[in-house]
Amino acid sequence: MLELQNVSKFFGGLAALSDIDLVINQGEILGLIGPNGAGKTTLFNVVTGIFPPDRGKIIFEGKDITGLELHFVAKMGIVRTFQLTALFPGFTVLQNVLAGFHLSSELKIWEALLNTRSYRNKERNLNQKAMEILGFMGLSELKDELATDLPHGQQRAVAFGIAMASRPKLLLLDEPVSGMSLEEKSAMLDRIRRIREMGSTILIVEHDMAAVMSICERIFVLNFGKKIAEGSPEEIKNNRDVIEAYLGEESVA
Amino acid sequence: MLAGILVQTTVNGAVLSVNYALLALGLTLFLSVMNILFFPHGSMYMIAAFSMYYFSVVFGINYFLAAIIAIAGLAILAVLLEKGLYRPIRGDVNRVFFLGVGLEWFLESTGYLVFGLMPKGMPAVFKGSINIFGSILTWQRLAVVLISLTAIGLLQLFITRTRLGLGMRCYVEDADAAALQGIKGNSISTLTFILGVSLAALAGVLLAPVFDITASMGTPAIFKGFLVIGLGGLGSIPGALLGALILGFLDSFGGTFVGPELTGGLVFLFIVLFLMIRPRGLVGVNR
Amino acid sequence: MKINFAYKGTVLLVLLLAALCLVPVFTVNKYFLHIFIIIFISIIWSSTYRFIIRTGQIHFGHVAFIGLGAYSSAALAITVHLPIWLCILLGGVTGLVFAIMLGYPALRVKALYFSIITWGSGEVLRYMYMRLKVPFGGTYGLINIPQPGNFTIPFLNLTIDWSTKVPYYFLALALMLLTLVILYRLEFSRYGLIFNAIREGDIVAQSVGINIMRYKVLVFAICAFLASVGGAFYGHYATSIAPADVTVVVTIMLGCYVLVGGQYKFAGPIIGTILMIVASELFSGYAFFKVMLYSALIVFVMLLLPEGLIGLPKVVSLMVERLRKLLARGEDSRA
Repeated sequence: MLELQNVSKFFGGLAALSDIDLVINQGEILGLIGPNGAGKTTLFNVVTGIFPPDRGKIIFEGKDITGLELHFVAKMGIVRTFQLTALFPGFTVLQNVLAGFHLSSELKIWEALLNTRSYRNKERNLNQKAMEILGFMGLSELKDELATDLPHGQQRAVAFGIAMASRPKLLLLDEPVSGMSLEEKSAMLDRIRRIREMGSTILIVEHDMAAVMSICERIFVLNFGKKIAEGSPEEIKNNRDVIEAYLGEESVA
Repeated sequence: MLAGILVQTTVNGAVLSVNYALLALGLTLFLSVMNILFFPHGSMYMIAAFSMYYFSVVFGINYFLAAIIAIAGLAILAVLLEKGLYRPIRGDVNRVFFLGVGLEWFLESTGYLVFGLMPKGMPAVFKGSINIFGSILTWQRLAVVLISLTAIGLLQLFITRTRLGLGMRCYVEDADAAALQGIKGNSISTLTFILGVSLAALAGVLLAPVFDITASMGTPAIFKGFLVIGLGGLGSIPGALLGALILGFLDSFGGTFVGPELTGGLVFLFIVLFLMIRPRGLVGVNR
Repeated sequence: MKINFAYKGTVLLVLLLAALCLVPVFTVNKYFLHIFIIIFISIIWSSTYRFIIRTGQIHFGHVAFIGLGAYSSAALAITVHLPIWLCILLGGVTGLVFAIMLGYPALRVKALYFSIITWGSGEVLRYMYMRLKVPFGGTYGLINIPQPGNFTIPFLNLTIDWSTKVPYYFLALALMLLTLVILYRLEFSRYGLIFNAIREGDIVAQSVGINIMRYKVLVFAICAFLASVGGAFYGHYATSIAPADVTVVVTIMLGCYVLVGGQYKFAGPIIGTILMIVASELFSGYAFFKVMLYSALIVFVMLLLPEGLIGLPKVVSLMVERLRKLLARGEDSRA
């Protein structure tokens, strides 16, 4: 589904990504791990078009999307969440998710200006779908709360809800369970599995090894911008190079 | 006599550049340290000039003494403005700007009320002129240039070498981290106001013997100042200086060879196009 | 039968509208009608200005649209003798086109530099008006701008005479209502959500597929069109315009109207405009004091009312609350 061919990205003289070849297959949950600074977020940024790679190509569903801007990439079906500022600060929870429905809103200016029945129906429909998502996330009662008033874990849930609303074919999750309690984590992992059942393919960047091992079918390991390992959780757990890379950081379970 | 005109124009350009630089520097300080578009900057300049007129011409006080009193007085006014008006609303950029607008108009109209409609003039302090390659430069203007350059140099030293200056730069980088070091936002704010307004006051003091003194002299000055920092790059002192240099020479040459009106329009056009291509100004800092 | 109080607001608005329509019936006083007309058109300008600010762009060139509308409409009327309604429409279109051409390169640019670009554009246009005597009348501007022709509506036996102010009053009222309806619908529909999203978090907005530039230019263009139409109207109403009428000070004044009234609410610029224009007229007997009082008002509101005058009820109720608590505490300590 998504293929990175020979992708490299340099910041000044530093290679944030070096000749990365990566394939994500439809319907799988792929984990992207590596020590801090390994290039995981850079990889996300390059795929979603925040900045283009200096070398290499990115192919999505057969089309070359290298260097396309963020909103184009979103239109093609790749959506990501962010570590920080993942949602709209001044919006309520409901408004946040409603905003996520932008691409499915079929917004036409004449309809909006004249407040036609078709426009109102569409909006009602989206409202309903938004409430469904909030229900799925366990946020229904908080729909009118200001998103920034919520505790951290729930804010991430809202951000996840926004991502869901944009009905991604490929969902890139940037540390979806960081800062969460054990219960919140397990609930979030369940949701991720459910999203995959609903048809999305998922790429996760995470530091929490337990979470990664439990949910990912395949894992891709980066260090210093280079791929150092790829395989199933079992293989990665016992991989020499991976363990070495993490030495000096928190030890793998 | 083309050579003569060229030299004269160049000399005028240099003088204009320094004038613009003096005004633009104060604005740059306000903008880069406190993120304030300090609209009343022009009034500060105007009040300084009028003060010089009254102290020097009406009361007969020695020019240099009068200058010190004027600058000190405006510095005190700056502190009052900061504490009373700007500090309570610090952070809200729009409110701060329009407060400045109201303040500027208030001061300007008060100026008309107090000083009257007729422009005042001050005799030059440094009499006579020198001859540079056939062009005339009055001692007064030369003194203005030299004193301004000294002031700019001192400002640069202050910012880079003194503890207070260092504190300001820390605050600009990261206000929270600076606070942890004991650098209080309020102190920096007061310091910025004092420095910025003093620069405007200095400009007023220096240029009072050169230009006509009217209550409305401040407005074109600030607009020019904003243009300079826009070109040079907001938030950068070298940028402001470079912008002042370019605009000074553009205005001088344009005024002589093309006419002031057309120059004005072309300069704006140039800046608009330039900023669209390079949206950071000449030396702009990316924040 | 229960009256649905949700419609209370609509009823009030309709009554207000009716009252406004009846004003010219009760007073043919030129001065009053003139003030109303100025207020109506200024509301168009300040509301469109606020809308642009609400997408997060600090815009210093609104007067460019106004001037472009006025000048192009007047020039068309004088040199090409097109019917006035067409001139006004084309004036609006000129502003629209200019906004699109300026918008695409300019709206990419970070906030403060955008301000300088927009300010600069306004000035470049102004200098152009000053230099080009041929369509634009040079330094002294255009005078004797044609007014719409008088015509009679046969079955009502009504003659619309443009030499009085009454037809202008109704036209201004109609233009203002059109503008407000369009802006209202934009703000309270999904478009409003999109514009707010762009302001609140442009990266997140893009990641859900919102094409930021497209919507910023859209707002810019619509507001430019409306402001230009207002400007064109003004040109034909005042019958003369000069470059001195389109300085950056106009934009700053509009900004004052918006900020004083309240930039966060739809009705803010309306309140601000009405108040400031009325205040200006009230103070006008006092010469220099007029500007002093006027600017003192601005400083006062900026200092004390973070949300503008629209936020006054909230501020007052907060103060009342605080007062109440203080009094309660006082009583407790005595007991």
